[in-house]
Amino acid sequence: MDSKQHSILVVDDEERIFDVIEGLLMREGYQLTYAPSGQEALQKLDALQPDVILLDVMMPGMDGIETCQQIKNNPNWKHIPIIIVTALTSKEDLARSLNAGADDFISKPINSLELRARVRSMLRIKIQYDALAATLRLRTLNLFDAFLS
Amino acid sequence: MTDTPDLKCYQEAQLLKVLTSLSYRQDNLSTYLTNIVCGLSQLIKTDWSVVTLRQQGQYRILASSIEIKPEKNYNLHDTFTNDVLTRGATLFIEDISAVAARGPEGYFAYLGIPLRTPIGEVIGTICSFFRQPHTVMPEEIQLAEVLAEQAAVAIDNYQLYQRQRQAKTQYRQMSEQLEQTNTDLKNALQLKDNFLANMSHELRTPLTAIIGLAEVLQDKVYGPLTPKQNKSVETIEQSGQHLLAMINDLLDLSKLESGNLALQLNAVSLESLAASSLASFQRQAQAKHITLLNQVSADVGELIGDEIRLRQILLNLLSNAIKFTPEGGEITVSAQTTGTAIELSVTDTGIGIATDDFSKLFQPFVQLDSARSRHYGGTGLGLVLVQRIAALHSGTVHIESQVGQGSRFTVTLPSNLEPQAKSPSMENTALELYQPQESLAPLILLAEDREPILLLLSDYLEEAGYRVETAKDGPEVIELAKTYRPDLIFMDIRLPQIDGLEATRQIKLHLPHTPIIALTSLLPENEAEFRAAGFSDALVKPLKMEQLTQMITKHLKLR
Repeated sequence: MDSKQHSILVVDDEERIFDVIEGLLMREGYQLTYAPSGQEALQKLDALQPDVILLDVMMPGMDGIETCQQIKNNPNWKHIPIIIVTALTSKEDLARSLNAGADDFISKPINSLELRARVRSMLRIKIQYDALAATLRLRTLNLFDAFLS
Repeated sequence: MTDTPDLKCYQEAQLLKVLTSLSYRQDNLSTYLTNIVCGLSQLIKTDWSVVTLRQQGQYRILASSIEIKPEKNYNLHDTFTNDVLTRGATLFIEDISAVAARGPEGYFAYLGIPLRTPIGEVIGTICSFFRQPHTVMPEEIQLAEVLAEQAAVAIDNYQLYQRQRQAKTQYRQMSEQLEQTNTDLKNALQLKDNFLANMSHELRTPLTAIIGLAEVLQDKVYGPLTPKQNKSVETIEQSGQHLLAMINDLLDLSKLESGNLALQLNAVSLESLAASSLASFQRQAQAKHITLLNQVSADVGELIGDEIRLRQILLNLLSNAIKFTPEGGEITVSAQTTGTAIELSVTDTGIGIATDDFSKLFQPFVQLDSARSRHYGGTGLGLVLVQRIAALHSGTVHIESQVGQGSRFTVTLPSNLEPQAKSPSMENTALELYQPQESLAPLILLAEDREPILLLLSDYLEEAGYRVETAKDGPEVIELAKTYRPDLIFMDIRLPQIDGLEATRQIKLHLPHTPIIALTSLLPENEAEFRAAGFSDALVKPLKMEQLTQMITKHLKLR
């Protein structure tokens, strides 16, 4: 992985869950940001450009499923991997999360090994995407140069 | 008296005939009894006759041959009525003035006849008074006694009928209450399920914090811990895990009991199931120096079941085995095929269970003794879940054990379980105990133009437990037959507008298999005509009630 500090946005109405995630990921050296609601998460997205979003499902107001849909429907945000974090455990809940466009799923209580592994795997995807996007940009630039010269 | 004896005899005979042919309906007892006392008054020339009914220490006048004030209760004490009731025999007093201050004013002679029911109980009297000095002939007394018997039977029937009605009303009220209770129970169960699902979610959030942060501290993310601190944090984490296990078990049990747990059936390899389940206890077993043995061979093969749930069975049994097996013991998982079933066993060399305690093992929240539960922990739900899950797979759980020697838990599962539409559930059977019978009872259609008879018959059939529809004329019975498609029809022949024969012909076009029974006074000369019209059978008037039910039984059995 590259040396750049990765940014992770944690969305949960319970701040103590953020404390847990912060502790469990402390050694990974990520830049963690907390948003207590779906609305606040959406407001922060453009400024923050997170590499992974950890998203709670059961939140007052806009719930995690809706937040997920809004992010995935926005062309500027849809490449950001989303891991749904939920206390709901049934297969139906899993299916609902995936249908909303979530990339992965982790259930509460959070297991530290599982959390680290899933975040890392999502980060890999994001890094690959960013690399591809950079290559594409480079090619476009090259083409542009070639056209000009 | 100017009548010749012959004419008098004739008149009396006529009157008697009228009186004995009196028909009464249960709701018109008073008219019937009034007819009887008026008749009696005429026949034996009384000036006043009344029917009295004993009610505890009092009596009530039910009917009178002359107009009297509205009925009220009289004290029995020191009355002629009481004398007759006590004696249980007819009493005639030529001169009531000899018995001071008794009887109504202005009367001279008294005749009292007891009312005796068919089972011999004296329930009242017919009292008659004469204004003039009078003697009664023995044949007059006989006459009066005949009428008294009729009155007694009528009153007795009426009381029986009332009691039956009351019982029926009570039964109906109880049924309604039961239905309400069932609905409440269903709602309560639904509430309980919702509550558990919500609670489970609400409890998971704080538990996530407890377990997660304990783990963070144990990982020394926020710096090293002293041994004491480390031990405390470890206890916090383990207690959190214990709570979590309980919540999961509770939720599973709730789902199992409400029938909401559907099995995801697949072919499951027992060998790999045993291997993976044992693997998750490897660390715990090593810590207690317990040997884990997997004796499930590949040739046991696969069974159809829900892999997650079957694993839950094995994990619960293994967790118990590890809990109750002392250091240096041995735990074996084995399996064998017996015909169409597969037996999966977990055997340990643990503390064992006394035979008397076997039944307690499968009750929720029962651990064999509280000291042990403090020592060994656990939720007390594990074996309950094992049993319920096995039952959901149409399987059973069997225990062999000796105190101090060890235990063997064997789960017997059918090897080729067919996918079930719905899981069996204890609550469901309990809820379906009460089923209103009425919708199942055969529907009888009665066609009869005389309303009193129609009412009488429909009352009787309803009492007998049938559903009844009634029609008063030909067009109506044809219409109702088409609408309700009854199981059987009783049809009077002489119906207004369209007669019974024609109505039957028309109904037979729509309902060729419905038995139609003629109610007629004409048979047997017309039998051929009836058969031709489509009647299955006929009842000749006057009807006896039980003939109706016999007819129904006969024809509904035929179909």
